[in-house]
Amino acid sequence: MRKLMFLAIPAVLVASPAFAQSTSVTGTVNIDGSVAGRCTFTLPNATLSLGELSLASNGKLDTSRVNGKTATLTGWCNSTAATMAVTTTQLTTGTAAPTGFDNRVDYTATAVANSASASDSSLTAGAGAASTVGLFTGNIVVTLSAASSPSNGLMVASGPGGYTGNVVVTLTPTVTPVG
Amino acid sequence: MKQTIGLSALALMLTASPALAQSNTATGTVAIDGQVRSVCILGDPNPALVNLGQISASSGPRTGKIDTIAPRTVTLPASFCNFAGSVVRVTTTAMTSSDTTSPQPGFTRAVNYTATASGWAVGTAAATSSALRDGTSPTATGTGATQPLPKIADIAVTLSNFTTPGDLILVAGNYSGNVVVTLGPAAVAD
Amino acid sequence: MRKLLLLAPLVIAAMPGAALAQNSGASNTSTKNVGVIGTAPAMCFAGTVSGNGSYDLGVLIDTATGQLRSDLSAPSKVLVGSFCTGRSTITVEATPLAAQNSTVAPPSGFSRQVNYTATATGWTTTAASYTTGAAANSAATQTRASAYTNDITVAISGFSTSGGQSLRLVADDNYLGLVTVTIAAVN
Repeated sequence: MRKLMFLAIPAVLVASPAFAQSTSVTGTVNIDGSVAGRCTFTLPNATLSLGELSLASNGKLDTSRVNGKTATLTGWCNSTAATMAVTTTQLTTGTAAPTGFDNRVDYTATAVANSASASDSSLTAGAGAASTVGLFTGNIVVTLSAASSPSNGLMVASGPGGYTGNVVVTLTPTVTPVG
Repeated sequence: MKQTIGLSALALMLTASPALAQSNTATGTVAIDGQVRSVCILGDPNPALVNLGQISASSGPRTGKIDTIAPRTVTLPASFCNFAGSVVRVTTTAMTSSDTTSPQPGFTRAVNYTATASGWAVGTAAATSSALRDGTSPTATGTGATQPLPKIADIAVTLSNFTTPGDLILVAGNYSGNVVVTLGPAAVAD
Repeated sequence: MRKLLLLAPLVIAAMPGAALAQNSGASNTSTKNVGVIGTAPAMCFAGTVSGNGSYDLGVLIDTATGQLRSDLSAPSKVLVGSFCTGRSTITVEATPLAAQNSTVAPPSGFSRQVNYTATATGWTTTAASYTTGAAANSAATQTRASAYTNDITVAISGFSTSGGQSLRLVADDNYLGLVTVTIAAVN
């Protein structure tokens, strides 16, 4: 007896009508994907040299050497929910400060990008509050303000390394959900 | 017999690969530097001028000679150096008469004295003038100990020990001298 | 062949531990001045008289004639340790030797006063001198331009009878005259 074998072949076929006709048929492919949220600094480093920090008249902190000084980084974020935060570290020199003297300069740093701003004071540990910066590409301008010394005393002469500190700007994209 | 094959469209799904667990936080750093120059500033002397008045005795066995003059103290308030290794120096210049002619035998136109600066480092900085009676060699300098830390303090300068060369009679006139106080880095040893 | 190995010492420029002072007005050295003034007024001290303060002339007359002796003399007095601390004048003044008890005008032929010259030497180049009874004593005051200290010798000499050498002196055991030497500071 002859056996008939039928092979089911998956195929992308359109159901054909009972009667053969010459009409067009349409097939649909759905494609989807996702882009992860990212932030990047295209210019991640800058140096702000403030020069002489003390007043010639009395040896105390010259706040005008700090306040209003700016540096510019550049970067981008691709997420509308991206945030920006600032962490400020005070200026210090390694020499000890006897009574009547200070060896550190505290200040506030404010980062502005995409019309959003985030700031932090070196007087508080850790980063400042994050602000939503959103989707942007361009400058991140860091401005210093509110300079002070702990006792408003005489500034200790800087050691070989000078007075150093820094401002770290952190850009955080939102986490892209999977599925 | 007709056979109808119905095929349903099968959708092909392209499944995206699951998002990898990676950090997309970016940080940028602004490094900030500055310096503070080494500086010393002496407070303005108070009083700036010490007026001894009459310095010769008017009566008694020392008539015409240098009288006993009590020490006088001048304060340089809130003097400071912001660096380690500073010293005070005093340079004492004898008081001499405004009449510059060489004095007759038995007379002096110079008054010597000691200036002592205290309040800075351990001990004092002192200088005693040793002018001759004609007023030559009027200046002496003394340096104090090295102050090892930055410091702010009142510096006191005391004038004392007023004498004349040979204890001779003072030529009549107005006498003036001065003390120069210097605050600065200790000399670098060779 | 001996090889000589020469080691050049490394010269390290020693810098002060502190940063170099910047040319901005402030400096690592500060200097202040304290002035001290005083005055020594012009003053004079006329010294200490040597011995007692009197010239003792003894008997004034030649007893044979009743007239003034011609050999009167007395040792000089010295003002020891005189000084003036500035420019000064020395002035000598003297009063005639006069009878102290017999004070009425003496009768004709007699006199009750003896003149003399007092001279102060050792102070000025030209000695100051005063002659009693003279019409004028232009040398009585002399000037010393600078401070000075020295002994001043005061001598008396040139005795003469007031009214004339031929007059006899009235008897009196106390004829007295006074010599005054003044040194004074001047501007």
